[in-house]
Amino acid sequence: MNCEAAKQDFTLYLYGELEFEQEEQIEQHLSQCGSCQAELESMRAFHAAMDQQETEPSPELLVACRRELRSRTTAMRQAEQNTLWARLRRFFTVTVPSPAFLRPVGALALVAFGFTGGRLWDVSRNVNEPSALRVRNLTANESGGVDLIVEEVRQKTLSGQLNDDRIRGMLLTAATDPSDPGLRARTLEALKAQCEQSDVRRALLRALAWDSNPGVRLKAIEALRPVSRDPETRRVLAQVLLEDDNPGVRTQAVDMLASEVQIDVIGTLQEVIVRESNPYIRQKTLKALREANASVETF
Amino acid sequence: MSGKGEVATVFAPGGVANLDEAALIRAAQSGDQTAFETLVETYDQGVLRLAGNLLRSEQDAFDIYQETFLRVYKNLHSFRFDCSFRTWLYRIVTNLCLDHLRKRKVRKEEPSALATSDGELDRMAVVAEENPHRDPQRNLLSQELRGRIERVLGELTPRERMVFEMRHYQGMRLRAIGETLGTTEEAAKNCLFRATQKMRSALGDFV
Repeated sequence: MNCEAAKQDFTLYLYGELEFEQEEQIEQHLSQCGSCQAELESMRAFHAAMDQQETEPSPELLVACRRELRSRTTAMRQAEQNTLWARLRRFFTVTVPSPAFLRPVGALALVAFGFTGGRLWDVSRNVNEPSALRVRNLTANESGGVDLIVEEVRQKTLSGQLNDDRIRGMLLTAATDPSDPGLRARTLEALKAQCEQSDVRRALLRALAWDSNPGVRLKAIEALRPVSRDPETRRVLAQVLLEDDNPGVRTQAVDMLASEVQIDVIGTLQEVIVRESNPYIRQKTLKALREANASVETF
Repeated sequence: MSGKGEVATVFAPGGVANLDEAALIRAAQSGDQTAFETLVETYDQGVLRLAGNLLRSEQDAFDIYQETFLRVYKNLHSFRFDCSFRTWLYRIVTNLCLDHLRKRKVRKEEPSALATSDGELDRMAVVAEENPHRDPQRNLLSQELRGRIERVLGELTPRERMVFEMRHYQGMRLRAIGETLGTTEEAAKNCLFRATQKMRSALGDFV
């Protein structure tokens, strides 16, 4: 291999894009050629200079991006549901209450609906299980009545203990229900007793890191108090302490982290002193750092 | 530093964390929001880093992030596993970034020097000052070198800039870069050569 061929391959060599044999040839050439060694060093210096241009997205930006995305996708889902309802409403507005000759059909539909409903559902339905019916389609039948295609949405009461997998699974799903922050908060409250279970702990951590509603985040952090020594929990608490825009959540986070200062949070606490404007959080952080004999400054 | 520069990935409840990626994608395709968010968490730091590095603006990176994952959300049902999800996702984000870079080139909206009340200021110097997480070693680079690098990056074509970004900073193989950008490995390689040569020649004695 001559110098020109070797230099042409330096870029791929440095990026590890050459075949084993090509690398061998280059290394053999380099061992005998001072000029190519210097050229390769110069390319390495170029790479090092370029490495320093890399920017790392801040954790705050990442959190802001995730929250905004969740809020937009939630809005899109709700808009889709509204559109479906609107379409159904339009369908009935246009099709059913039209000219007078169709009115008997409407009346018959009601009678048929009541009759069929009474026969089919009165027997089987528990009074504690109210249901909602959506008419999805209807056609006039040969006997002068109508055939309705209905979709039934039933509500029922499920009772069980939190250690019942089915109950817990439903609660874990409800904890992320985007439409109802109140339900999410009540669900986390219910799950609190099970926070030592890994799936529940993850749901709580997820709510603390992701939920757009501060009330839900506060509920999550409160529920995590018994597991504040868990490393994953501490990592999320540190993240929240630095980045959550709600001072109440940050206050809870500092209380939990400062109750037992470990080496893993010293850096976070020092960073809090630089960033935080809330006097209580600053005071609590300073006290925790002093008790841990740690400097209050970052270096 | 603990809690800094890292965002904990909190996996989803209900065992979603244990699903392999294909199962996760199928769950997201069927409307499972938790599965979708877990997919996002798997890839979003890379997407944000790519956009931030290329566009040098947190606001632009934020916009690209939103547009990318909203497109994923809207079009996930059409993902047919013909390629890896990562490739599919990176096709979206690289196309958005390329469009953005092209528009910027046309508008010439970002000169390398900013006019301020204190006179002309190098844009990269501002970025470095604004970034509280900067590596202290970065300060070792002279202002002039940083300014030159920033200028030469701005002079690359959007495609050269993208290939260099994907190879140098994202660590992607040239074959994968070609696949993502809808071209051959050879074309990606040539693009990388051109970008490297342009930059080395512009930086001259600095490195």
